[in-house]
Amino acid sequence: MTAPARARPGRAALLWLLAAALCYAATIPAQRAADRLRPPLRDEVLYLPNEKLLTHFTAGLAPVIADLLWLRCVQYTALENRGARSFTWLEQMIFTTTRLDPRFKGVYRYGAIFLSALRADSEAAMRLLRTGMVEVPDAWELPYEAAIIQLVNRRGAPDAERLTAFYCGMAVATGRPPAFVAELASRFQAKQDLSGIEEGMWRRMLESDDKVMRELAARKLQEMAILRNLHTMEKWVEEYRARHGAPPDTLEALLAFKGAKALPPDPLGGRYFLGPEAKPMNSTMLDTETARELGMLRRRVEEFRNTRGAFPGSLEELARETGMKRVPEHPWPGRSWKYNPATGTVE
Amino acid sequence: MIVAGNTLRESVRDKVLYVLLLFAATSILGSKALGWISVGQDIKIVRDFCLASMSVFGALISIFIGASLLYKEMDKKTLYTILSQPLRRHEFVLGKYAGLMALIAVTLAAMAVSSGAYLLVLGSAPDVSFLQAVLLTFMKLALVTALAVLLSAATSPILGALIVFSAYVFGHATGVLRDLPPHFDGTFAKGLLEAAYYVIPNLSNFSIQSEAANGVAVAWAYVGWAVLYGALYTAALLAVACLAFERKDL
Repeated sequence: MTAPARARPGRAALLWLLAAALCYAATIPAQRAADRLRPPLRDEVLYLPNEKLLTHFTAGLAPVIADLLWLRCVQYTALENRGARSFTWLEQMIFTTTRLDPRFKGVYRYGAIFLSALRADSEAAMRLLRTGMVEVPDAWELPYEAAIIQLVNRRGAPDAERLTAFYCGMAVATGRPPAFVAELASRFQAKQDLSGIEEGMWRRMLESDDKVMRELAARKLQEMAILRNLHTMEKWVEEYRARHGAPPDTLEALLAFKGAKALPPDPLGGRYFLGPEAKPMNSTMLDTETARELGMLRRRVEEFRNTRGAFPGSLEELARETGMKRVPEHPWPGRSWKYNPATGTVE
Repeated sequence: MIVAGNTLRESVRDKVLYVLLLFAATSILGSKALGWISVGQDIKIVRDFCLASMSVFGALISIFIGASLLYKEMDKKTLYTILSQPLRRHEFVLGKYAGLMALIAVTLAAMAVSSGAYLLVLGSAPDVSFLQAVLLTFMKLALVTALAVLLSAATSPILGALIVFSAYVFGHATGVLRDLPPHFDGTFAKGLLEAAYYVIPNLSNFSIQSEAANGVAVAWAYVGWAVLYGALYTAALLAVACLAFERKDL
């Protein structure tokens, strides 16, 4: 009887590697099965009750944790932007990141853009930028973004132009801004072509290396194109009214009046129509506005409950108690908000 | 010098060192991938990860190798042969420390040079604050290693490593002992905690990664004071380590 021949060392190593690869491959279906059985989280679990304490206990790794939190924040923003668009945790994430790394300039800048352009929360964006201007005083980008927020998000507010000029001046005063910021400051002072300024900003962002920012800029440029069409339609309605003494009944009548076959198509797939008193409207813009207002109302309801321990009895009470001038009207004509005081849900 | 040279040669053969260096290299090189989804913050993230890798993996080398530095010689009985030579005990302790610090200096320099080269490839030259951060990381590791050597003379490697690791984490959190809420004002606890603030090594003195990653200038005066603090604390710990080893019943 002879002893069994031992496998050659190279072959043995190959067998071990094969066994390891098979075992590893088997972990993937196991992980997928575990994922299927574990219910998904209903919301983000990133609430940090006191990030000041967290800063102390990071063993010197606060900047790295801030980086990771920022990456999560970008992912969260992209997912929300394609989904519910409520951005519930956005402000918390951004402020926690800046608390962990107070000199993280990019978070102040892009966080403010996310807050103002996506969550339509210019107050939070301005709070963030003001903090950033103190922590990173030589960054021209922060007062520049503050000026843009005044220009774009607070357009029409009584102090918006004054504040825009103020922040433009601050950006120039850092001594580091590129030429277009100085040009913006001078153009603003001349009060020329403000929508052109906004479009220029989004076009510059369209050249960003980052996909999220490019998507945001592309969306904003498409919205601007729709707004331009609406503005043109408003002028046509006025001309129609001057000619016929009454506004047009239908969009077709308006187009026939101007000899146009059709309007340029909505790049976001919506449709144009005439609302009450022949006001030109667009379904994409109305949906966007509805999502923004709804998000704002839901946040206010949540804040109300957090501070007072109960949901407001009505949206009117919410407006009264939280410093809103009034409950915003539903952007769609003929529709209204549905509020349930028992559950605090706004639909 | 001979003890230091031997310690360096011996430590270089330790496999733990290469495992830790591999992890450090992976985290530095892999950080670029994180930057792809950071909205233009990729360079900042790479700088953060480079500096954090130097600090964390340097500390792990200090802890894993330092905590068993003297214990291993006693356990293997090689200490008796060494001490039979014309060599005082404190010279032996300081030689071991110097050898380990030489290893740490070499690994830190390797990580700093490769990080700098990586940043250059990515289009961002390391600036003065980056070099200041590396210098202060070295001082932090000198202090941590001195604590590890002290505990190596007094306790078992596992217990020593645990204590040094805890000191590393809490050493970065001493700020909580100073920034107390107002209701502590005038209490005995406040005095006690403030005293503890000066007793526990304040490792956050050496953490200027945030400034370095964001390109914020750090005053050389601050760096000087931090280096002095680190040198003095290290000297104190080494003195205690020499004392403990002199009095140890071998």
